Amino acid sequence: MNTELAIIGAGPAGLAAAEIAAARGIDTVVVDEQARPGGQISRQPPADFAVENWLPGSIYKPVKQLLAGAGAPGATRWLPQTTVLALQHDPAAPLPHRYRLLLNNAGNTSELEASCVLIAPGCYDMPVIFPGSNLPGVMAAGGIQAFVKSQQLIPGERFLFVGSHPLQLIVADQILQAGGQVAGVVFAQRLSALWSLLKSAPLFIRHGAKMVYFTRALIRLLLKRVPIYFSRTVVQAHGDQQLQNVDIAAIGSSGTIQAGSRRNIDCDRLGICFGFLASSELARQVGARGRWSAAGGGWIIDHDPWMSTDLPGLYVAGEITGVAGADASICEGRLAGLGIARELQKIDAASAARLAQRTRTQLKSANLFAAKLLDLSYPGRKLLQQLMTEQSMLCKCEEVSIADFAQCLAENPFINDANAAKLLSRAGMGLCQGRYCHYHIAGLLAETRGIRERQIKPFNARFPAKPLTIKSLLDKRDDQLP
Amino acid sequence: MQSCDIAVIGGGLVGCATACYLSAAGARVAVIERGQINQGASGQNAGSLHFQLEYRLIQHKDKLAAELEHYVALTKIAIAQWRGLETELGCNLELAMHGGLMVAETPEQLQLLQQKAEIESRQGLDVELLDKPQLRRRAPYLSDSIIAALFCPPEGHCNPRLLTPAYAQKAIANGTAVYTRCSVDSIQRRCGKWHIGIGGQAAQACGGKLAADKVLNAAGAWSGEIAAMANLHLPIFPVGLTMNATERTGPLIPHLVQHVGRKLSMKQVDDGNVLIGGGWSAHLQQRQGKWKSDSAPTINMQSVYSNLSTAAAVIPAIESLHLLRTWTGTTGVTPDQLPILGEISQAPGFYVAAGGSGFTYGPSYARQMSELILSGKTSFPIDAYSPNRFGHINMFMG
Amino acid sequence: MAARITRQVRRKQPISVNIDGEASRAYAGETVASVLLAAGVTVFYRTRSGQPRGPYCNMGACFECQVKIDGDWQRACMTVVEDGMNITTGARKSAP
Repeated sequence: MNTELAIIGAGPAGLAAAEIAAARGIDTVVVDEQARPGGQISRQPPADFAVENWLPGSIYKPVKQLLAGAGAPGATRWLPQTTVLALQHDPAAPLPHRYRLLLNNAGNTSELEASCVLIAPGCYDMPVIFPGSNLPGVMAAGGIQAFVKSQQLIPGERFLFVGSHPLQLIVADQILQAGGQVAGVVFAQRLSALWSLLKSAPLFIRHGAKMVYFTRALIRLLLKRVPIYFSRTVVQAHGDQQLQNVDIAAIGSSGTIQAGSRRNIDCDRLGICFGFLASSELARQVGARGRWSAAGGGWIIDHDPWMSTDLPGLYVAGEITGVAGADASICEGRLAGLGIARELQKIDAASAARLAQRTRTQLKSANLFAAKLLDLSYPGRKLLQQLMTEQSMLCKCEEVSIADFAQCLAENPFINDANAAKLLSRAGMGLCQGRYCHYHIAGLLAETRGIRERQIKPFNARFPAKPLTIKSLLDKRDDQLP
Repeated sequence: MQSCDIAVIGGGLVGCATACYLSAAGARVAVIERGQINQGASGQNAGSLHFQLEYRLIQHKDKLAAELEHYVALTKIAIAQWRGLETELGCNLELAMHGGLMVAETPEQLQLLQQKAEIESRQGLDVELLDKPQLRRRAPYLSDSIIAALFCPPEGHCNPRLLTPAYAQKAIANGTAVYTRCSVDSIQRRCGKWHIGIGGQAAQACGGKLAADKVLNAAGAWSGEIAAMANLHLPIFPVGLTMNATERTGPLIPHLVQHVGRKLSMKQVDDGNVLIGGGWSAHLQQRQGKWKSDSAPTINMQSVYSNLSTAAAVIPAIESLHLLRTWTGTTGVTPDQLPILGEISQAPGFYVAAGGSGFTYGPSYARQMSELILSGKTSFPIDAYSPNRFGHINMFMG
Repeated sequence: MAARITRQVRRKQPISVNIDGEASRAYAGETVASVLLAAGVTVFYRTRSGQPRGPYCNMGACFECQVKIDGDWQRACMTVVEDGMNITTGARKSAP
């Protein structure tokens, strides 16, 4: 199969680009891992469910608008429940064969060739490592939210949220409204930090809907007497076979956790909400140039004003360019759509520039809001590293503890690179392929070796982007083996 | 300017191990590595200890008769060295010498195994031909399609993650200076000394240059580029290879498994992952018509499918394991497939250790090279591997 | 224990799956992760050292929700349930 444009990810960025591609008559295939388009922010309920009044909040309006018509049969081909395992670039190949994707749909693999590719894979919740962080019941706040939004399931009884990102207020509110209990919402920041966001007049004027939504969620939680803690964070999760309670402790004015201030809160689910990491694996696999952004998603991908990477015909949009939220993602998706139409000569340069103008203004505004939010919500290395006690698991898959890793670095003073540290320690060698430890390995290496995080190259992103059973690759069996 | 007795270029297995042996004997040694220790083929290969003759060597058995004799003699030395290596280095290398099987699926392949067994036994290598009922007992994980296998008891595997760093640690303990993220930019001989210009991110660690009485070029696939800096030719060529690792699983494959007629090597490491390789190609990247020495080769998907299909045909149970990752590495091959070990006669004090089966024989190459560099003599004859067998290409160089 | 939201949600007729040999109710469109949580399962698998693990990201990235589904280890959060599915939890990974 081949196509003019392959879009990887049917979230806000991918959908916005697909809309423009369809309007310009570009032959497009949209690949997404979920059953229905929408991405994480508007993860739709299964087609077999009938849900009234789904995602009523005003902040969901722009993405819900994009969903109208998405996924329906038409000129655009939608490939749901499909993972891109490999993305390869052949600079010498003629246009429709320039990019080659290997796809996996429920164990059936197939190849797709494309002239242009847009990578819009979004992000995932930043993992945070502390004693007990791998106990069943400790979950990403975004994971909890997806159960509510999409599966219409309250995935536990009594929820505690800890983090530094205001999203946790929204998830806590959604749990309450669905009928669950919320034991508390714990912010690492001081109350004044959150307050400064809420009282920022320019933000209210331009992003009123979002600010009102946040404020309303906060008010509903307060009315239900949900405790909201500030200058506190999680220090340990306890439980025998599953989460039973959580210790939180105060953070002093110097940013140091006060061990003496521990207090214990009963809960069977802990939502972790410290921000997000960009899913840049496929872009790194194909060799697109990127850079490090500690606050903006870890390893992110560089692009020009039309969202083109340094590889011809390869575009990026959304969180992969730096975590900035759905509004910015939609703008970037549109710009990428126009950029691709421009490259494929489906629009002339002057018209593209004219059409992009308004989107660029909107993007600037969305990025302004996103920058404020990142400033507020980035927990900082100092806090994250205090949580990582010696016995906590740096690599949950291979069960490499912080102490194991530190010992490895101490015994091998010549190692000062993430890939070399992975090879030696096994941290990052498991099923999640380093997605849940690479960010912390960069921090630990930088601290131990006195180098800057941005100088540390990311893990080599390998094929397959997500592990799959070997039998899924045997369908391509070549009987003419040497 | 820093100075040392011997500058070792390349922080792979052969470089680190030779540095370890040299410094243990009291020499002042510096290892210069462009990237990280164990970053190249030494850390990327599959860690096979294969002592049986490979199929490609058997093919030319008449022409190579003398070489085979020498090869088996070296193999015996290597086996002895491997057996003592964990004690020697004082650490766990995940060394497993539980035997290796070279399997056959067809009568023609069986015939090859029989010929091979005959040659190997004559040379004194311990091998045993196992028929199907014997295989069922000793290797029940093998597919029903395997009709026989040649068993070589000392074969096995060692974890390449651990071996080179263990040598590097020991070398440092012996006083070796290790400079990583330092590239060699120039090599000049002046007043009886080798002067090495050093660049790269961490060049300031050794002041940007190094003077040495002797140089060992142990830069693997890239040792040709290093030799060129000293105005020498070295016939070693980079090739890209593919490797695959499955997720961890319980004990399944105690042996090293190879195939006499197809490209395959398989083993299970201590952590439970199954490593699958066997010489499937990957694409070397180019920049302006030259091989890119600083980028890993790109994956050839057909190589991956074929490698996994071959593996599943031999050990069907792997089909339900997840493929965790496929990676590529670059190794160096010489025109006669033998290693290049020795001093280049046109450039006194310039030594080379590259090519050959660099993992299986790496510790042995290193030991012989350290003897040669220190005393001019070796305990095992390595003249057959001397760079001077290609001497005519350096007739006007040096 | 997890609970299905019923207000403003209509599901189709229930289907049945086997969880560790016991019949359990499920609805078309649900993921295996939802079905297990709703059935009160929290430990989805155990690591090699025996540590219990359960769903974390619920978007296919973390691999913490793996269970054996009809014989193959799969991510529960990325697998849509089917009538009669056999789901095995908890077992440590052993050789196939």
